[in-house]
Amino acid sequence: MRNYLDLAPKYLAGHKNKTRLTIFSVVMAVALVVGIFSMLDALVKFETAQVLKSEGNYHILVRDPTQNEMDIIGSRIDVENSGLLKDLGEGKTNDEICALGYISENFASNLNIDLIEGKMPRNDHEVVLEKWYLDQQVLNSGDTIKITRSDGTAEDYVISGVINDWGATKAAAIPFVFVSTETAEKLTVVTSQYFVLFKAGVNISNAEKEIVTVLNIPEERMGYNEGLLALMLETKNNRVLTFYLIGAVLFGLVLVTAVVMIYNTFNISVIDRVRQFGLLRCIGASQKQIRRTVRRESLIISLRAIPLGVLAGMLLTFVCSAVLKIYNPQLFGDISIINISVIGIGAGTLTGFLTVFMASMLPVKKAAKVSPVNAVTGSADLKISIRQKCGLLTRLLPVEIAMGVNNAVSKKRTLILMTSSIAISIILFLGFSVLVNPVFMGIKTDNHDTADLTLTSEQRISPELWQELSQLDDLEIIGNPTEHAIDLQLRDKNDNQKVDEVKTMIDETITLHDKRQMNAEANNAFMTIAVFIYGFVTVIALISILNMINTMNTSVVSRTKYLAMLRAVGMSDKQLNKMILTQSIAYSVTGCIMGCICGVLLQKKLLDFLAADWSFPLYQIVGIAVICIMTAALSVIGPLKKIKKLGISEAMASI
Amino acid sequence: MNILSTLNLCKTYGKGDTKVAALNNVSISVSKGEFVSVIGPSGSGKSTLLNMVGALDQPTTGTVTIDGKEIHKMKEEELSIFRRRNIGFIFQAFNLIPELNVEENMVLPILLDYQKPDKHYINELLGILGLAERKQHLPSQLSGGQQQRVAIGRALATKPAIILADEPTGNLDSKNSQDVMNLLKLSVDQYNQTVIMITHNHNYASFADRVFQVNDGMVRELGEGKR
Repeated sequence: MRNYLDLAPKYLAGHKNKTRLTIFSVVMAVALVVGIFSMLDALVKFETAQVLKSEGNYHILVRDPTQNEMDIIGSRIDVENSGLLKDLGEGKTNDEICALGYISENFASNLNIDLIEGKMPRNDHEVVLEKWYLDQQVLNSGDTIKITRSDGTAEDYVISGVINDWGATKAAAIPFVFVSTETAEKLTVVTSQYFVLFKAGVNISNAEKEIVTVLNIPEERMGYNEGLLALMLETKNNRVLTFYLIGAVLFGLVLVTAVVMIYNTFNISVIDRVRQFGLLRCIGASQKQIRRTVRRESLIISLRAIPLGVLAGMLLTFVCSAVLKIYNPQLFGDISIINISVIGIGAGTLTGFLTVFMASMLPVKKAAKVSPVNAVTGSADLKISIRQKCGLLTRLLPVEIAMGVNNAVSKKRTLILMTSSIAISIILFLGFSVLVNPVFMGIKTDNHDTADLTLTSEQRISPELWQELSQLDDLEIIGNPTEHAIDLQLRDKNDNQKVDEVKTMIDETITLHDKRQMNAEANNAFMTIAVFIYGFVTVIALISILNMINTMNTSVVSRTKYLAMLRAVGMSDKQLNKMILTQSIAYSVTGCIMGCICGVLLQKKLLDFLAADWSFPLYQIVGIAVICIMTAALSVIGPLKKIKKLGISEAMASI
Repeated sequence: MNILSTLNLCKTYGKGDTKVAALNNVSISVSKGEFVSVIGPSGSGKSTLLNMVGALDQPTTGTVTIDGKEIHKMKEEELSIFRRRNIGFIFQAFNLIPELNVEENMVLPILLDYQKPDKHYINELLGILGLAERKQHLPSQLSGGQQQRVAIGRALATKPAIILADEPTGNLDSKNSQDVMNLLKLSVDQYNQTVIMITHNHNYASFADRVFQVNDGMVRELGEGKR
């Protein structure tokens, strides 16, 4: 030993058990933060991918722009890409209604108008159509199709390319027909939209303000890709901001949980440390030197625990992403499941470091308050309360249970930290579960009365068709069919054969609307958020349970000597079990009650905030109570076994 | 030359009704190289006196002067530096650092003072204390008597102005107690140390040059001991 700071590693090595438990608790706290924040990061990535697919890759749009406006905006240095979409009104293809439109070739893929084969229309005789319609009509690229334009004139066009299906047009049974620039110029424009995508790093709200003021564009002509802007934190939408506020509260709570977890572990063995620091002060260590030794210890613990925590957190995110990828390979197939989230790792590392350093100062501060000699001789261990102990508990309950309760309640700080570390996990759990609520996400979810197919007709649909349809297997008529509309639901959503079968049964007067893709698109957005939030909740629950087991373990280990003393004066193993179990349950029940009260209040507040209905979460609370008590019981098994294995005299001599 | 003197030393705890005077107008002085013992029933104020002369606590009124320096004028940081250079503690419960071996326990106060331990002196101490063979042992591998000898070694290692021993024989059998008393005496004789020892044992108290009796916060000298 060359330097007094070598005390730090020696202390940690001398208390292997305690060091391991401390490191484990830091690992869990860091894993919690890294996991949750990386998942949040991944969620933003997934949602962005989804918004880009459903809404398109643009930031703002200008309705009915003039050529001058387009020239000026398009030539701005901060604009990455821009393009024009024109609605050219209704037309007819082979006597069926279609939607005529024009899209700038350079911006087509930004709006998810992707060519599957062929090329975009380049001259007055070319068009592109959606795949589902061409399949329905048995047409291919290169074929000719007769299109009646909105002005009533008709002409034959060559299909120059095929574009991907759009859920909305497929459901409406009105195909998109995109024409060339030349053709578009000859037609009357119903509406047009000029889409703008800014370069990365551009301050979008400033750029937009500039465009609006320079070109004097009225507000009603401006449009926004709300979803994308929201994910970029550039939104002005109040609803989204509310959502963010709630998120901030919940993710703030995650940080608090991690802090409490670490604090709790450090607090458990505070008395041993106070004694040690008192001793060091007696032999001449200054406060500064003690602080330095403790900081060295914190550094060692941090360096060992934080990398492990980061890895564990990344693993949790990996699992969540993998679930999503397996769940929806089309949407998330091209997204990497190994997300290295700088935000997540940064938040976890920082929280871990800061909390370990602060929490380890707890006994230092406490030791500074008592005289070193008193700390050493242990006379400052127990603050004797002014109120006389009346021994009510021992009169009401068997002695070991009374002692268990007393052990839990007598040390206020320990009680507060123990219960709050349990309570805060419950609050988090209840808080996050609010987010799994499709009502305020504005997204329709897949429920029992969503139609996969709808048949509509201007004329009466014959009752015979109802009869025929209802006799088909794996197909159900849902809702109340009318003479003009019948909603159908498929047992297997991918049963295209059944769809074809329905097609053969209907005549030209009836239109088949295939809504499956549209439903699936709406569902995906909901499912992504749900998977992540269930991920958050699972991680929180898992870590809370592990944390409680770890904490009880630490608490029992730190009282080895005291427990041995009780056994020496005649406490049986059975009584020991009961006492420790009582103590553990006392903590968990107190924590559970506090957590449930605060959690339910938080839940109600959040839902009020979102103007959504709240009902008492009875099932959740029953579940939480059961898990709490089971964890309390589970958490004492290991440490009790360890204690009993140790001989009484051996344990008395230790520490 | 007085190494330690107190003047009208008072220490009170609490306020109002619960006010307790732990020390009441204590004026004593101890010369360099003296062996002083302090006796008194529990609660009499012995430990408070020890805290005061050990520079661990500030008096309510009055002064404590150690080696010509007034303690109550020092700040906490200054006080701890003063303490590690001038005071050596020996406790009833030994209070060694369990993670450190015998030698490390002894040199720790020197390391805390950012000094290099004098190997020669430490080895000499280990020899005198009969611990030369055990310098690599951890406290848990030693008997009570051996542990207390390490504590004496730790107190002597920095060659402090005063060694304060708080019932150093309280946890030991008579054979080991005798050893400890002999070593304390040796440190006075051989190293010209000043030792202040609290004890319950009148027999050991009389080993000292002078004996102080503490009663209800008052200190009175009982007269000369055996020496």
